[in-house]
Amino acid sequence: MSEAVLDEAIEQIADGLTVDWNAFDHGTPGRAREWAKSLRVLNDIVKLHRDAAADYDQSTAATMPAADGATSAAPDTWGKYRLTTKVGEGSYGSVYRAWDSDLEYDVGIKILHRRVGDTKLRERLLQEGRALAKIQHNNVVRVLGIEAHGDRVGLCMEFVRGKTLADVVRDQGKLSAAEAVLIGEDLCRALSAVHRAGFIHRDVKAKNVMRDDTGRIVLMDFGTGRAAEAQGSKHDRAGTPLYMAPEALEEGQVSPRSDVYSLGVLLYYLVSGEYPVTARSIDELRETHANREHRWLSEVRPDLPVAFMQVVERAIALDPEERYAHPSELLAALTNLRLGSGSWFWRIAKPVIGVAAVLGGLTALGALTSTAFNITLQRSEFVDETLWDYLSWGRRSSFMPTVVLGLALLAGAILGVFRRLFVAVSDSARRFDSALRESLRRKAHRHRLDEAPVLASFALLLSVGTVAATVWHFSPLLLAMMTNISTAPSDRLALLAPSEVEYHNRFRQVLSVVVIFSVGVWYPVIRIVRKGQSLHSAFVAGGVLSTCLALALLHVPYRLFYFNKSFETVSFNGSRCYGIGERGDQLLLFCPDLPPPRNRTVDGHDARVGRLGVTESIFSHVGQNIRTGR
Amino acid sequence: MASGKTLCSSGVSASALPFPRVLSREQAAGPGGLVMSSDFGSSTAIGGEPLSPETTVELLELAKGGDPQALDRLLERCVPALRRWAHGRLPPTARSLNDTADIVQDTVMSAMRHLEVFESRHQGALQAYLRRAVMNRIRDVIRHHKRRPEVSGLSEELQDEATSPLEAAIGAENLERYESALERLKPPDREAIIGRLEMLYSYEELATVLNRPSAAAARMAVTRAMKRLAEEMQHV
Repeated sequence: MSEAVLDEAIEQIADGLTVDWNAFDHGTPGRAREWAKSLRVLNDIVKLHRDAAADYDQSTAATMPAADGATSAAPDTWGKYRLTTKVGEGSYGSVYRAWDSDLEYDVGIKILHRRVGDTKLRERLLQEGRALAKIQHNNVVRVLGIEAHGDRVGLCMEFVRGKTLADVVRDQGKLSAAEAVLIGEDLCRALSAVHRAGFIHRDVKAKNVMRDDTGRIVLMDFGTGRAAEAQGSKHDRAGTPLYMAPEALEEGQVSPRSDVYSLGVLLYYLVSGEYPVTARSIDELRETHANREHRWLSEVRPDLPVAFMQVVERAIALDPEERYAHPSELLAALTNLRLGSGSWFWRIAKPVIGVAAVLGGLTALGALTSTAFNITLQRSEFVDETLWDYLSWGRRSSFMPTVVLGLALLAGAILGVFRRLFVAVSDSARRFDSALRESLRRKAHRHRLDEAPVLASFALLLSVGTVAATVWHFSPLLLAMMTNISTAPSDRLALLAPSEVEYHNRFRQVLSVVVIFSVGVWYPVIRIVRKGQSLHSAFVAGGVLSTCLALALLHVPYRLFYFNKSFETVSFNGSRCYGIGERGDQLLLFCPDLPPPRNRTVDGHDARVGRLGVTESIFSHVGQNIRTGR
Repeated sequence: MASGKTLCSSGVSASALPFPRVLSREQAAGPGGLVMSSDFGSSTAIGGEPLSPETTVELLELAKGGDPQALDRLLERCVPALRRWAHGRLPPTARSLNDTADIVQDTVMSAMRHLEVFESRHQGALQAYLRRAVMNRIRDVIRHHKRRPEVSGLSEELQDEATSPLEAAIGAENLERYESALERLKPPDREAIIGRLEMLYSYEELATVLNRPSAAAARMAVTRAMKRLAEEMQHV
């Protein structure tokens, strides 16, 4: 940063001109930042005094007889209009309800402050008035024309009878997402019309949108609007700070995207009564933007539909490139929300689909455990199972994991209740809690764990890693349960014996925890995505695959572990066998004492077969316990 | 609204006056001269009548001599500019046109009762004296509003109801930095800054107030003063 840059900035501030703050980004960073910080304060002081003086002059001009003789109009008339009520006031002008004595109807007139004595400014306003009068849209206040009387210029508009959206929220409280979507759609259309006419509105906010007595949404107040090509002119910070896009606040860069941002903030406000960022001064607001601090809509109104929150969050993305490029894009997204979630079909279909998904899932799991069992026993040809059977197996197989999940949720809930209790009764606990959360948030931010792709990578790594470690640890058992019992070595079959039931239980318990964990690690990722960040589908696929693998491993051996006892013991040629399948007259025998292949298909009436009338586990008598030292 | 370009500077010293106790903001205000201008917001030079500081001095002498018309004319010159200035410093709830006018009018009338003890020394003292008195009154108004339940957060317009718009716009900390730094400057630098940044004088007007030969010289004085101020602010 050179002396020349400094001198130029100082002169620009002193003259109330736009300062090029980018010039301070060069040179010694710390020093330039210090200068910029001080000069920004001075810039704000000048701007405030200029705005206040203009406001005061305008008010004086509009309410008092002009002392300088420039106009002879009485205080309550302006040209042919009789000013009946002052309905609004801002730094750019006051709005009056007025009576047009020629046409005999009410109009709204915004009389701009006196500085229009400056002929250039006056000419520009006249041009803007002419262009604005060309915007014919049901959701944009109709501009009837621009008139000059004496040294004052005023914008004549239709008079809208109704309430501003700020009044609506104040009187009726927060709106529902559905109401906000309808209002948002109207405003998108209005802004599209404004942009088509070559203007940027620049001051979309609750106070500038009216809902008239018939429910029509009307975008008002073009006081700060200006031609889209007139970038970076003198008033670089026109607009209302909390509604202003960061680039508009910082650089005066306005575009359709900055209007989209303001509309997004308005939607946020309509459903929450709050703003996505809070600050007590413009400096604090800048800092808030710089630190990318932001209150997610899901934190303020967690009950809203996720899709709605995602649309709003995208509209108020700090980076203009991440926002909808144009109100028409936002309109399409809002319309999709309305049609997608609001129709009666989906309202009925959703619970039906939910129940069907649960039943389908249980049936699939049942089919998995049952089929795996039949394949392991090589008895597929001897059984004829129905979907109902599968559903039954699925239900039974899911019981234990559901209990584990229930216990985990209960433990979490108890911890949550205790935390809230401590925080409610003890100041030090509250301080510790908020310090801990803040420190975790900072650490997460430092390691970029608040970015969806980074967090998803960690989640995927943890999920896959845990599943892999479990598979490694239980590999002998996995091998045994996926083997063919007819030909497998008998020491491997021994792992399936009822005496190993604790080992089996442990396997299923560990797998249950692994499944819950590998779903749980995605929870923070889901929260981030719900807030509006996007995620590559490969992460989703990876996470789903890893979880499905763990789920499959959990369910595959269920029937094999616990339901191998229901087969009748028979003697075959003097050996102990088990009738594991029957088809017509044919009997499928599993004879663990015989050398492989142990499965034999015999005629049910074969004299060598003697039914013993007892049932026991088919693995009761196989091999020795080879897991010594496991 | 005053139509001329006449300075509201008395050529008297404010230092000998029995001021109410004032805070740093008032001390910082210093003896700045004041100009009446109908083109207040403009950053460009104002043409028209020549500036005539003597007129105000004469008026002041006449007023001190008990001439009620002279007093009226003096007020006509000083009050509008003070109203504009006060408008930006009053909390939103007390910022309606009538409130601003009343507060300034009352304060100035009250301050004018001490007119007889004024002693002419240098320019701008009358206006500085009046500005301090108005500022004191504004502080009372703000204190009054702050006794109400606190409004937390930032309203849509970045204005808390019990906070001056200036404090709301730049924050209490920045306002403190600005005022402390201003206080540490030499009086002529202070006058230049308050005249240009707060009272929005044109450089021609400022040249008269600061006793500089030309508008260009006044501009240079402002630039230098602002540089010093910004540097001071970095050390506060």
